[in-house]
Amino acid sequence: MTHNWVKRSIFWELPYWKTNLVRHNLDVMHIEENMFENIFNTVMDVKGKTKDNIKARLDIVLYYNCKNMELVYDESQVAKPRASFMLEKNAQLLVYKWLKSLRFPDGHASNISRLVNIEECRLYGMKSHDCHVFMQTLIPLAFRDLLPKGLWEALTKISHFFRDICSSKLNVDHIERLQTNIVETLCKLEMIFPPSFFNSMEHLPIHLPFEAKVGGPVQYRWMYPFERLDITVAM
Amino acid sequence: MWTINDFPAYGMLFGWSTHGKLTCPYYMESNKAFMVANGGKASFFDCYRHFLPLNHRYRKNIKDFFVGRVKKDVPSPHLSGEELHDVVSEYGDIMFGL
Repeated sequence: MTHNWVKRSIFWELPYWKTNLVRHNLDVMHIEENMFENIFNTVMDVKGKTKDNIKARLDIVLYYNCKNMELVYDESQVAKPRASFMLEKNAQLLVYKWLKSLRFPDGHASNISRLVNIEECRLYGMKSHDCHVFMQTLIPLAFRDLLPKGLWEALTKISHFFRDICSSKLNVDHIERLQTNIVETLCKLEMIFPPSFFNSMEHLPIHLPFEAKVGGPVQYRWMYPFERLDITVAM
Repeated sequence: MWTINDFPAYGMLFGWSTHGKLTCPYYMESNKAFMVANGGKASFFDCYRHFLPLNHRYRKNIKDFFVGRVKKDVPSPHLSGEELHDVVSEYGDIMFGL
């Protein structure tokens, strides 16, 4: 199959639709949330959620030259060596304990310390907005000195990218700089994470600066107000 | 006027499905994603280097990205609304989903 067209959208019947520069907005809220979850679960090696699973390691042999990440076959057992981007168990505990002690200003985010389960090493019930706060402010702090410097810098740049793109005031020069930076940052992540980490959600940030340039600040074009409205409608 | 939706609904409104390897609604057929052999899912691995300037050192790196691959291509331009309209009209007579 060479295309993914499934229907002729009814919007094309609008007379102005074809002259629109942006017809459908990419949703920054979900992109940020999914990207945060991918990064966090992979770095913290959350069982069942990490993108760095056995199949990913099998793929590494095919596409990526990284000898120390390949599976080790030992008689009847298969071992998955620890990757450089994965935190060790005691480092993970440090992060979770730090999260447990975290206090936010009133109304800034939900009480993240309540979501931490130290015994199971999991975060439970993170809402989109908690992911948003974590992505933009906590990632550089949480992983500082724990991750290798190159990876920490790349993750910090991703964090700054989302903070910049979500700011209420944007100027065109700045957006163009964001565009070049995000490409380079994603290239840096490619040098570290396995191929299966890069699903479509990791691709979409490169289109966000274009949409911000044409459509204006993200806060008027994202899903937060409508997701909140859904709760009201459901009630 | 524009629409805002999550990504699966984006596909429904736009008419270009956002599943599989041709996910990206901007680059459409020309995006470089591929299906990984073991994971069975679409991966955008090594799909960012062609956005870099032509003389960037990452483009010649055959070690840290897709093994043995040098990137020389540039990204194809986005289709404008008019062009998309022509494409969609071309497919208009076909009954989709049958």
